[in-house]
This record gives sequence, structure tokens and C-alpha cells, in this order.
Amino acid sequence: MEEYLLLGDISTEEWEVKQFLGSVNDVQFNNIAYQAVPNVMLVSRSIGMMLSAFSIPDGAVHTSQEIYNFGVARFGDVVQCYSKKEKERIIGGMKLFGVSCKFYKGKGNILCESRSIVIVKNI
Amino acid sequence: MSKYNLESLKQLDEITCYVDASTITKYAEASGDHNRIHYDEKFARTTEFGGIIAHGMFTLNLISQMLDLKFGMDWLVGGSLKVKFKGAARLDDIIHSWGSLKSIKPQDEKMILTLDIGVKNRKDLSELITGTAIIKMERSRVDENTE
Repeated sequence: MEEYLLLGDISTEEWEVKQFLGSVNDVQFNNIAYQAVPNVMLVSRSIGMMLSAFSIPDGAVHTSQEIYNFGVARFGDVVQCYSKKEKERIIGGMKLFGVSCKFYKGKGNILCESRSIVIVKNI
Repeated sequence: MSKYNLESLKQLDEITCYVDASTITKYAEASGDHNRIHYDEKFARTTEFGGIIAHGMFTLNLISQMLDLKFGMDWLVGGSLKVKFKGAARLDDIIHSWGSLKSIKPQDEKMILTLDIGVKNRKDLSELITGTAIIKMERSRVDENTE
């Protein structure tokens, strides 16, 4: 964990989960029945947090995504997102780098891991 | 817990979504991802995409919903995916997820399901996302005799 830095806390109040599910047109309500926070919501929120934390410029896109689910947060839990930015590579005028995240509910209770490859063109 | 019929695992029910400016704005608010490529037409025109595109994670959410619908907690706890973004969804696109069973193998007390997954644009059937998902479940949960 020493390489990972705390990117921030992610709040998962019921209204926030419902806002997220509504924004992706998720009308299944499975998550609401379970009171379970989808890990894909945590990963989505982490992308927004990364933009400012790692000074990722507008126009950057990510080219691949990995998600590993280990557990679920319940409505109202506060999830800690730890992140690690990997070394940048410059290829043909493009900058590529990986960002890994680990999501915890309390100490040692891991919910999810993710890894994104981000590409910045026209550098 | 209910058992999975092997036949029903071969093809997953697709999730479809219409992409418009309102959809993208709602997702930006919910995710906190305010990259200008998703809302600033003038800026977006200067990029390789030539216009506004939906968030990649928005598109990927269709796959997560599809897996959630089929596998519930087996996806939410213990599932994983690995995908590549091949293209982007644009305003007025209709996109849909797809998933099909690639292999199913026993491993100790577990059954390991590997699925090919993706998201396509309904307009031209171009692939926006392709990849693989893995679901692990108790071996006894899969009814292998239901052909």
C-alpha cells in the first residue's frame, strides 16, 4: 500500500447511489434491493477524482479498464480510494500512463481494485 | 440461492441506452468527470473525435448492468472484467451491451465462467468496447444437466 496515495473519500449515501444509477439508466434496482453500492460507481467516481489529482488535461481518454470486485459497500458507507499513477510513456506524440486504484471500506476491508490506461494526445 | 441453467448462461440479455446531451450531463454530475470532451462542443471538435463523446465509464456501465442483471451478487462480489475501449459513443447514438459464455471450468469447489463481453453502436454495429469478464461461483450453483 505504500505506493498508493489516498485520492479521497467516496460518499455513498442512498441519494448518491440513486443519482448514479439514474445517470446510467440503470432501472433494474437490484442494487437498491440489496442496498449495495455498485463498484463500477466507485471506479467512475475515481476517474473524476483523478482528473484533478493527476492534472489530467481535457481531451484525455482512457483506452482500457480493469475492475476486480471483492466486496460491496452498503448505502451510507464511506469508501476510501487509494491510487497510484504509473510511469508515463511517450509514444509518437502521445502520452500513456496507467492508474491503479484500490477501494476500501474501513481498514483492510478491500471492496475493489481497478486499473485504467489513460492516453493524452497532441502533447 | 437459485441455480443457473447452463443454457441461460450462453447469451446474456443486452442492455440498451440512448445517448444524448442530458444523459452525458447527468453522468458527469454523478461521477464528477467534467472533462470538456464530454460537454464543450467547440473544444471537442478540436480532438480526434471531432465532437462530443460519452464517457467511457458510462458506456462500460452497460456491461456492469448486464452482469449485475444476470449474476447479481456473484458479479458484485468476486466478478472481474478487463476491457479495451475501441470507439466512443456520440450524441444520438443507441448503444447496447452484449455478452456470451466463452468457457466454464470447475476449479476446486468453484465454477469459473469466462464471458466475452462488449458494447456496440446500434447504428453501424461498430465495437465500442470489447473484453472479458470472469465470474466465480459455487460449483453446485450451475445446473449442468439442463440442455
